[in-house]
Amino acid sequence: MTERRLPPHRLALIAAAVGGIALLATTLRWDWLPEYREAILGGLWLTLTLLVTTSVAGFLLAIPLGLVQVRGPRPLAWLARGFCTLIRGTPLLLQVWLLYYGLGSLFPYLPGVRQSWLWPYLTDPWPYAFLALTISFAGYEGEVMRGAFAGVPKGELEAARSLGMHPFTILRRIWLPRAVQRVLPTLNGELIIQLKATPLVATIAAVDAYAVFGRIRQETLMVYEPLLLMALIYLVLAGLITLAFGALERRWSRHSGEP
Amino acid sequence: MTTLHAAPHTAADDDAIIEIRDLRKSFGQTEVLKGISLSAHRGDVISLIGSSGSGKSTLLRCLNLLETPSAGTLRLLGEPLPFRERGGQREPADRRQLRRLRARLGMVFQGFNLWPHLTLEANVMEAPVQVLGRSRDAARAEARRLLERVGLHHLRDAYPATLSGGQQQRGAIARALAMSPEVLLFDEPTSALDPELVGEVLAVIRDLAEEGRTMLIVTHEMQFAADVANRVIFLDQGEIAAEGPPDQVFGSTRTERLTRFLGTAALT
Ligand SMILES: Nc1ncnc2c1ncn2[C@@H]1O[C@H](COP(=O)(O)OP(=O)(O)OP(=O)(O)O)[C@@H](O)[C@H]1O
Ligand SMILES: [Mg+2]
Repeated sequence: MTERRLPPHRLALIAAAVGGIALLATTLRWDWLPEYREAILGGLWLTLTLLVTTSVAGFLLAIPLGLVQVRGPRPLAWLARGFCTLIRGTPLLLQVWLLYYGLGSLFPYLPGVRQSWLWPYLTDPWPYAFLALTISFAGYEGEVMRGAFAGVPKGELEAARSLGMHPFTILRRIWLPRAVQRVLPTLNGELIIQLKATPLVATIAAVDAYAVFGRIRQETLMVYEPLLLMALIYLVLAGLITLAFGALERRWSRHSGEP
Repeated sequence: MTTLHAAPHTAADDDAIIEIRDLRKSFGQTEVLKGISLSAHRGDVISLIGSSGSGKSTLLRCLNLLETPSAGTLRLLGEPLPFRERGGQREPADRRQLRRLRARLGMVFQGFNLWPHLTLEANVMEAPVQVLGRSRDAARAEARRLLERVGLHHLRDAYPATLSGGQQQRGAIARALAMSPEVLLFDEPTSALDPELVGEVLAVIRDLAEEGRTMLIVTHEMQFAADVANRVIFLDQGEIAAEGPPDQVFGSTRTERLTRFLGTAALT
């Protein structure tokens, strides 16, 4: 993982970007913006909601997925390993489609589902989008957490055991915090990958930021302007994630005693 | 086996704080401990010496069950520790009893093993709060007192990675002391230290010995082993090869095996 502070070449890039944007803002057509403001904000909202909820839920799933692979019990370890391998080995687009078209088309055949309060949700694309992005993140981070749990020096855990700590206390107070501390630098990159995976939900008719810009391009017949604005939005989001992690890491990893 | 000083291994050695009989430990096919019997009484300071690979660490780790003995009986703080078989593995039968006993046995490791994500003070507070259910305020006050005692009061807000080895080890001793343990187990507490830092840690341990604490110390510092202990146990290839007061074990009657070992360990 590369250092994610702000070295000089970064500053130069940012300056170039700002200059470029200023140029584009003055030379290209932006008169369609006011009309689509609401739609863009709505799409952005869904993208952000999906990003935050799926990475939080996915990470929460990744903790047990990583833990059982390191600690057992054996059968659960195999299950977890199988799950991670499956998720990591297949395209996310396939997972999204399998859930939406596969699982989604099975529900109507279950007795009583059409009448239940769940039905309106089950016909919406976003639960499938949420589920697919969550298990995908869980699959990747499960593997990362496996490595992180395994990488916490055994002596630190033995010290805790030798003091009479309960295994659950050790997990909560020592093992998990130390493992999370170790994955923080990786997590930054993984979150940006997750951000860039969210447009796939547009393929099941969820209206995220990407889908909104697709619609704008269709309706206005403009080629570059919507794409440029979209790129800028994703770039800014990625930048914000990196900034947030920089701050987190400075708080958390400073004392890890590791290179 | 040459036993210069036979400890009273009677069946009813009730005031023994640690008593093990015929303890064996194998890793796979290799038997590392080949039937160790010993008892420690309140106030005993026992030095465990022996060449590398003789099983000193394994013995110490068996005493607080970081390793499960393959055979033999164990009484800790007057309580017999039952084992059971589970899935072909031997393990302590009563996990709760094990945790309760561990809380009363302190262990200090060669590699310090402080928790890097906590400050020194938080390291010392952790077990009293999480295991004994002390209030944070009480635990903090006690932690400060202990850090003062090992000369680290001014570094209480420092993180382990910023400390020298000697400071980390003194912090680890404070962490063990915070549980008011009835026995302290030291596994080569100074072996990972630069020579100039050994003294500060030995001074703390010596101080604890003078206080009358019960301690088992694995060490390669022969002079220290002789000075601080009232009993020395020489372990050789998984067996007790000599045992007794330091002046006897190191004295003129020392066995041939011990002489050979001391020759390599260079008694200073
Ligand atoms: N977890 C383990 N698995 C397999 N073998 C082990 C394990 N722990 C220790 N051993 C072996 O048991 C023997 C005794 O090891 P132990 O660490 O108890 O020796 P020691 O007397 O403490 O040596 P040192 O002075 O080097 O610390 C060694 O041969 C070691 O390789
Ligand atoms: Mg050892």
